[in-house]
Amino acid sequence: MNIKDELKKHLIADLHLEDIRPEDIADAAPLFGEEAEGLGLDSLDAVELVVLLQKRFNVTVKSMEEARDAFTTLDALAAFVQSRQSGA
Amino acid sequence: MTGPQWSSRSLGSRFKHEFFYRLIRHVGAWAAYPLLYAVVLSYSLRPSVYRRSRPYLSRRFPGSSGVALWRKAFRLNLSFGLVLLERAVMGITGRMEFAHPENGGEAVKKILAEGRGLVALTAHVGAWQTGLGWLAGVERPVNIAQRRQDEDNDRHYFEHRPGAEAPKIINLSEAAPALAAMAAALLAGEVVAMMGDRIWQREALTLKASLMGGPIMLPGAPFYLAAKTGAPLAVVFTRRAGPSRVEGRVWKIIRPPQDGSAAPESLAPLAEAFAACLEEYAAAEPYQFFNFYDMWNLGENHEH
Repeated sequence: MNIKDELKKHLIADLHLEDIRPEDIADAAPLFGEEAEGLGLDSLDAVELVVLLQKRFNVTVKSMEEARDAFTTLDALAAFVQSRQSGA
Repeated sequence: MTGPQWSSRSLGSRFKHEFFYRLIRHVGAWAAYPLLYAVVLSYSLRPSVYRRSRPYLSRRFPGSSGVALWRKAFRLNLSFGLVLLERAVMGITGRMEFAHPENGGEAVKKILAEGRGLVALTAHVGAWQTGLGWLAGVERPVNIAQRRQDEDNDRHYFEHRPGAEAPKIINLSEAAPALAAMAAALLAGEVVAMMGDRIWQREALTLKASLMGGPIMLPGAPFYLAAKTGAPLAVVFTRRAGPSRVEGRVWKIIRPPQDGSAAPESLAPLAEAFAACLEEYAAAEPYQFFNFYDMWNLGENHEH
């Protein structure tokens, strides 16, 4: 399973996203904000996301700036996880 | 959501703040005290300023009214002015005496040794901004979550002295990245200090609690963070104990639910415990409770 698919699976399970299937999550759609435009996560979900990254991928978020960049879309999140895992 | 309308905007103009800073720097702190009394008196005579403290004072002193209540408002405003003045004195001259009668620092260190970080939950009471300075002694990185408005004219003690050991500031104006940074800091075993007594207009989670006989809304984020990261909450209050003397105290340790549940019903008892601490503080230090707005005016659609 690639990182994006893994992320989708864990997002749905850990953030308790009801009635959403992995294929419903568009790679380039915004994770936060209005549901019509993307996944519709709220600020508290950002906490869950940090915990998820640490627990499932052993990846830590080091700053607000990092979170701002990594949490925009699934593409950005996957790239962030990948870069951390490869030690970049 | 909507909630109680308050502002962190300073009452005094930028010019007045700067005048006080220069007076302290070039003449000495002693010169600022008489001027402060005059300024506080002039503010206290304004009905708009009196109205701000009335909701709290009328609950704290239910038998008082008229001139007696105005005198209490003046005392409260003066106490607030002294805290702000001495915060500036500390930043400019370094003069401040800290005392921790109940050895709060040791209690915090003990909790940090558990390795799960710590939410240092404080409120707009006592010398809250200056008082957070003692957290620098806990030997773990300290993060201060705060929301500042452009109109804020008063500065934190560490902003007066660039280069001084300063905590990391997490700017709450961007909620999601800020909460992510706070969670990450807690998971790294760091301290995250935040205010727990005022809600913002776009709070993702608020919790109802009882204070001085009436319901108030508290921000849910501190309790949510604690539940999700497993970090205990230390209610940390300070009091101005005399000229340039601050006492800090770990009022209570609040443990998050052991099962990690962050459902509102699981977090509600934590919010109630914090509100009880606020009430105890107001009983002990009635003139150091600095919420100058109607905390009990819940507005509409306030609960999530």
